[in-house]
Amino acid sequence: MSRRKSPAFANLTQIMRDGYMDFHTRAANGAFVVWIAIIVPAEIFAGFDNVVYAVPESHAAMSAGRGVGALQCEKAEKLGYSMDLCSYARIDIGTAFDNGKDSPTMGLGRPNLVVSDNNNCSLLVKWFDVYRREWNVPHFILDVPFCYGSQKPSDTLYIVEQFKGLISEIERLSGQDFDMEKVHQAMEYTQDGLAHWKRFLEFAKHRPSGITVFDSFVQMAPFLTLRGTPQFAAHYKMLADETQKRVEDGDFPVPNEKFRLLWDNIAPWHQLRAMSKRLAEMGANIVAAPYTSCFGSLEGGHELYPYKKGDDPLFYLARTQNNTVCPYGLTLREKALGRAIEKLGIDGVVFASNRSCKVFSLMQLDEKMAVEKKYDIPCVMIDVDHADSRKYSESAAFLRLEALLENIEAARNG
Amino acid sequence: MHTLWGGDIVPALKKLKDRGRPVAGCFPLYPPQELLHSMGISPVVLWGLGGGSNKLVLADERVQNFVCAVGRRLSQLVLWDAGKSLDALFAYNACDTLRNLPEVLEAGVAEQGGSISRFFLHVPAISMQRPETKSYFTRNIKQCISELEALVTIPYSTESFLQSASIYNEWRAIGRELDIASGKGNLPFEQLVRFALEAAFLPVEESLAAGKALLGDADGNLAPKNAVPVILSGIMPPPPAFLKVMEEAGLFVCGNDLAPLWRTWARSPKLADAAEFYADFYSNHFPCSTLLPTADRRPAALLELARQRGAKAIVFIGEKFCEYEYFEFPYLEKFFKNQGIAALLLEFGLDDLSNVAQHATRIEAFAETLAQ
Ligand code: SF4
Ligand code: SF4
Repeated sequence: MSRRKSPAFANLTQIMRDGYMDFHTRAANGAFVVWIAIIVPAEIFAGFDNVVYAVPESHAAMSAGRGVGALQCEKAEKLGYSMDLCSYARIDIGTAFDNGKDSPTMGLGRPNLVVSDNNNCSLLVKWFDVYRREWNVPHFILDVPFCYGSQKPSDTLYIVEQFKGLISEIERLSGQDFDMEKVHQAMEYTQDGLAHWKRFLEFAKHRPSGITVFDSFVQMAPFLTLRGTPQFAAHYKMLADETQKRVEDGDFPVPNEKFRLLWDNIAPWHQLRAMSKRLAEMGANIVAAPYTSCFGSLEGGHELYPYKKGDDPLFYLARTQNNTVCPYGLTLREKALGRAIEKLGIDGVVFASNRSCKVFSLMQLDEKMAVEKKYDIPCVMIDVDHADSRKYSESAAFLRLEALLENIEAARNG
Repeated sequence: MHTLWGGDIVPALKKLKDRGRPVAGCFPLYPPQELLHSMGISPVVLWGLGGGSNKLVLADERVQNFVCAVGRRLSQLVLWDAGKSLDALFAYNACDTLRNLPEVLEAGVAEQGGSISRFFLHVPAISMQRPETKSYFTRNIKQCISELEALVTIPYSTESFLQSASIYNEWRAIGRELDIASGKGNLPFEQLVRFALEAAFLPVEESLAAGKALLGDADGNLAPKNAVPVILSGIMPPPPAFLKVMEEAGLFVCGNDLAPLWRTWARSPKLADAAEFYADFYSNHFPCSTLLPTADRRPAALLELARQRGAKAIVFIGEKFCEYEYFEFPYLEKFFKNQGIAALLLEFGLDDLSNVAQHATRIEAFAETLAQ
């Protein structure tokens, strides 16, 4: 059975479709609508009876995956937004100011509140500010300090205070009461789902790998839009169980796996199918990426940071605010890459230099040098834009990818 | 050669180093120079580099070409210096690009056998009117002070901080006077820019003296008759060659909100201890796209500046790859259009700094429209 038609992939399509339907239906029926950046802790919204949220970055990724990324980018560019801005931002602005036209989800409607944070990037705050200015909607900013080492305890408390401020703001704007008990329950669903997600990712250790990074990119979607729900927990259990069964049955995505690679950057959403197919034909499998391994971890790590029943949800959520690679520095990034290389037996690393996401990319030249030196494995840097297909050349990328595989082969042959 | 709008900065750096104090290379845009100065450190703000060769061999090894010229040139200088003049790097969370660079540069310096200390201050990107934000910032300043005390022999004292802050405030006041003089045509704008950028590499006392001397010499109306007065807005000044193009097109720069110029000088914070001073400094700064809580004040502040200086138009100087400014331009263009003030947006990347021909046609056409 094709992996894309497997029960877990079918379930993904179903829960994502249901999620967007539910969002639009409840918004139309008067729910308080929040747009959030991906790391804003969505579990908090479970504490309210009638708050729904949408994630513009997730919608932008989906738009790119469905082939309308460039079209929406062009709309934003016509409004005066530079082509050098992050393509997620351009897709979202293009979609929003064209009333959701050409969107795979009928757009995201209009929010009552936008909540951004500056941990992945400050660009995001400026991007969400566009809606505040144009639509006169309130904008709540979470200020999350960048980490060059472990998050400082004073930073954790600072973030917790801001979460409390966000809760009060939603109470004030929506007129709804907040119930922390419901957040406890949401945290348990998230934790449960996270544990299964980590189990799913572990199948990359198998030789041949039980998964490809493209599977994990696609399967990330519920992290963005369904955290804190029973569907989230159930889906990742289904995914991990299904993958386990496949591995036990000897069913592998790249059965003739000759090259085990690591990907560094955001997914090239417009290329998932084409890139995975072409690589598989060459016996190459990109088995993991720090970007998909970091959820539910602390900065620079991949291990699950445990949440136990009765823990303070706000403290936990604050403590994990720096996990997504962009909010931490070079030392931590090298640590995260190193762990993946060692654990997964990586033969080579693909650094996807992404001019649309400077925060992810602007350290990669050093990371590449460090990996080559410490692990003595070939690495390559290719130019990618995660969501704007106009800024990607398949032939140029594959010229380098092929060279990478040749280098790995040459190193093996001494 | 590391040039500062044409002048070589290497001797200036060496001179600073020879004073025997640690020299801190501060990342733009608005580092807490007073604090460093009060603790016996010589701060230099690493901007305005350029005007010479565009070859950034060392920077290109570690920083991709889609990073703004400010970031790439700063990297080139730090890597070239390799810890010979610069003892420390001081950064705050001014922008996404700059927060990513300190460790990269530290690693690059170490690779060449040098060493450089690294300091970082997180300035809240949200309003400090909330008490918990302000107390968090106060803790950060104290933490920063104790980290700096490990680098220097002079501990922090409020008394010496106040002295340093007064000198910098006086320097800002001179900057304002020079800017106003230039807006009236008493001082060529190019000279004003040179003063601002050279100040970044001079001890503040010397820069203050130079400013006073310059002000004494500022005289006579140099503004060409019939020239159209315009405001220049953006992060960095455009290259000298471009100023010439503007002049030839019949435009006269009567004011600016460029980061090392008016944005830096416009306001002198109230004298207070370091935590209070910087809370005021960052919260009530002249609006800047990078100081998020101030950004909303920018259209009104620019409009006021345009009215005060009698400007007929605004020329936005976009720093290529500066996302902060990119997000503001559509909003600002719309705002000024509604106010009946013409606006032109130009973008300068590293390669355009010596080649302004492509901008010349647009500026000439814009000037012709204004003249009509
Ligand atoms: S610049 Fe990068 S981190 Fe920021 S929104 Fe775009 S993709 Fe995300
Ligand atoms: S020009 Fe913009 S992107 Fe570059 S250093 Fe300055 S604020 Fe950052």
